[in-house]
Amino acid sequence: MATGTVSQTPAQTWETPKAVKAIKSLKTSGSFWFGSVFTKSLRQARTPILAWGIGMGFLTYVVYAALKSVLGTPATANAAQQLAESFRFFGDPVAVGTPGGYFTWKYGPFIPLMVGIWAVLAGASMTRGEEERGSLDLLLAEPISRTRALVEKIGAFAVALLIIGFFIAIGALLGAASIKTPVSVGDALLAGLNISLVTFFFGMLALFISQFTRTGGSAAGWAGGLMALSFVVDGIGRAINNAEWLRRLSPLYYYDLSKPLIPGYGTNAGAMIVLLALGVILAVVSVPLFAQRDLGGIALAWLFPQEVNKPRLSVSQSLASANRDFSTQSVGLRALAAQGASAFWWIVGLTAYTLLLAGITKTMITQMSSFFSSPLLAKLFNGSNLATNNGFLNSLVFSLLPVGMVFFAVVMAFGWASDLDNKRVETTLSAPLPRWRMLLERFGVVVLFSVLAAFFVWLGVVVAAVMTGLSIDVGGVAAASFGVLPLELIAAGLVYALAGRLSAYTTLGIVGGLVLISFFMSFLKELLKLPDWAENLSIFQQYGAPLTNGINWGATIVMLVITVAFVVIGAWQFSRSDVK
Amino acid sequence: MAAIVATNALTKHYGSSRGIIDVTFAIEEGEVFGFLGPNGAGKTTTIRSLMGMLRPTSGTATINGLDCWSQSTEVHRLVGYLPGEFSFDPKLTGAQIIEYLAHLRGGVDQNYTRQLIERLELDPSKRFREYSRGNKQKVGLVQAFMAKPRLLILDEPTSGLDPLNQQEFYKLVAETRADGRTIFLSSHILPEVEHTCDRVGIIREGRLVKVDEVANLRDLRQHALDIRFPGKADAAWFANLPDVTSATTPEPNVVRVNAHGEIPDVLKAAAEHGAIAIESHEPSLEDIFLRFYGPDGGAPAAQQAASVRS
Repeated sequence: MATGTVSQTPAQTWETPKAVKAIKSLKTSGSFWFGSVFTKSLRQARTPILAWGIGMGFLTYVVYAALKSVLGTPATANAAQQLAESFRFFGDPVAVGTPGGYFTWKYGPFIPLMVGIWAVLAGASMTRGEEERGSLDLLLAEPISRTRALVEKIGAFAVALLIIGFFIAIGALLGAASIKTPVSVGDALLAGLNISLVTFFFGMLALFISQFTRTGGSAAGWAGGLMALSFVVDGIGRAINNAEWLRRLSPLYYYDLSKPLIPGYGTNAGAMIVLLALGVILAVVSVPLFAQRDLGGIALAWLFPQEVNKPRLSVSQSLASANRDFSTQSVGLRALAAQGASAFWWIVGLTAYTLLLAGITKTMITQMSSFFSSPLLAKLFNGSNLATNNGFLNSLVFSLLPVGMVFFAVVMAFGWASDLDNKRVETTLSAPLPRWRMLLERFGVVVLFSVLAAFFVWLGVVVAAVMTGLSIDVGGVAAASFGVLPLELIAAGLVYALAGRLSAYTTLGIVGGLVLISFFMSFLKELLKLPDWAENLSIFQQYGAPLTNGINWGATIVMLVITVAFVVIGAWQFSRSDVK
Repeated sequence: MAAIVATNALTKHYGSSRGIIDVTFAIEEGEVFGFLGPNGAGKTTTIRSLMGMLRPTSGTATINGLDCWSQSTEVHRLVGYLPGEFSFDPKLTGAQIIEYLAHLRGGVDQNYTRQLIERLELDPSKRFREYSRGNKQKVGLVQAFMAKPRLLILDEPTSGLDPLNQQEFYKLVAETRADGRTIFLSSHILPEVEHTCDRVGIIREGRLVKVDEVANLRDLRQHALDIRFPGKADAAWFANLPDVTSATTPEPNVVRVNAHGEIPDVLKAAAEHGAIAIESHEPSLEDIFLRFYGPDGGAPAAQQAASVRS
């Protein structure tokens, strides 16, 4: 029989050693981690849990361990307290002369914002991520209700945040022990829990918003914006007299009410319950919104009438209008249009932050004119001479802004990496266009966006100064704004250098991590006391304080040369290797 | 006629896993060449190597004498390409995608583009993410055909198309051939390749196992017929007819005949014995491969099958 030959067929082609191993491991470990939506989601979050947990835990430890030298004498402790009284914008000045107080003042709001970045991204993509990939249809085709699937995902998210909080608690315990100012285990755990609770709120906020947006990206944008706004609202409420009521609108206020690391201040159980309740309410509302809507659609769609039915265009009309569309003319213009909206909102955010901080500079200088003379204060506040307008602007506006601008450039460059991963370039590459040119046009757009960001930051400071009657050095502000450009470009260039080889998210992780490390090396230099050569590796250290000291031209040229090298490596790599 | 596509011992390894091995073939200008093989056989790897997306591990591929890797930009001027996985920015409309690619290519006749869109019944005003799989495929086909390229490289062009649009696609292929232009298409559907192509290459487990004219491929065509009779039937009525590879009786009044090529004798014999119904099963391509090629992709196994029968 002819069919006899079928049974003589040799081993199937998929039975490679790799495949056999994968199947074996499925049978053993898979039964646990792939056993439920909860464990599968937790497994999926393992890298961020470790990265954020260990990262923030380590930061906590390092800061604590170095505090002895900063707050060494009663005089310095006293000066720190006075400084914090004036810099209320950043945190509540409570017992700043003690390690727990100093840490709570300077890093209290900062750490939840950092963890919040992951919380917002994870919350926004909890349902939308899988919806966009199309894998949610498959998951929900299983006999598991949507409610159950989402509740398990939320549970895994909560556990992930608890683990991150736990790492931070460990960091505080070890750090405090190393300078022999013991913190009780309970207080450290409560401090970690407080961070878990406030970030859980922001994650659930993102989940809630994502039920009304078509993509996880826009939900993350909105939630991230609200998170930044809540930081600013909390700060203004604290810094301005008679505005205390404003603070109550910000979830960070309820976070601030507990300061478990300050002995004698303690934990406000009521505030923690409020935070938990806010997060749970958003979660509880999101579940039925998700369960009742179309997959890929938006919740309560009847509230949002479809865009008015445009008269259907004929084929010729569609083609003619697409032909005239500026975004179809070249690779660069296409990228400009594709990333334009996102870049616009980033630049609006950066400019708003600039306007706000430059806008309150004058008030703050007047408030705290009494103790500008101490050089110690300057040392505590990133080395700027606070007695001058420029010095003050430098510490207030240009301490965090450059990181924001660099992350903006990284996010813009990430578009390229993610297009490569999503196989969106294959058809475009079949056009008679050299690969290096495609890459350069895309990078050119990132350069343009970076320049625009620097320009609007400069404009923001100038406008705020004119409006509030603050006298500034316009050229110095330009140096400070445009001085960030090489930092933006070097980070974006690194994304391009790595994107051809590594996956988009690995690239983002590496570049984002390096930017953060580099920032902390400079931001915490008084605490870390790194050797000069190590400090000089930080791009933010190389940025320096252009507002007071002018642009560091040597470093700028070196950074630009390295950027060119990165882009050349990226173009060479992209031209020489397989398209993913 | 000169070869417009030529590969010589083209080999591509992906790390430890198999890609393609020693693939050698040539396509003449003006012919329609089908590339046939089961999933994972190496069709897409070969095509992406021709498009300069993949760098060959060894061997060469040329199009119109130009090296597909080092001169890919020049090659692309001659080629319209439909990737196997056609993906694009989901926010763009079909019209924007088509016009964007037309601008990058240059010299595209908008009239012809419009005709293509109308023939394939595509609504170009929708966003890419709103298109069904078939409609995405239509966008891909329009952009591949619109520049009237000398060579079209199409990776599974009919996947996702409904039968009416498939017919329209076959017409486009016929017109392209009539123009003297060349088409290289891959498929895993045997009748489709039979229908559209002049010659086929069959690839299996990364190796090209056969390149032949479609006319000769008809030998590959397997029929499995269940012939039903009013009374008890005998397999011997069919067993020794030409082209019959096997005949059995799964039920007392049914004879199951496996045959290849044309089968006038089988039909005649069925009529002679008063057959009341004939049911035909198209065997899958995989069946045919398993039946006709040994595990090493070597000699045809038809004779072996015949000897088993006797």
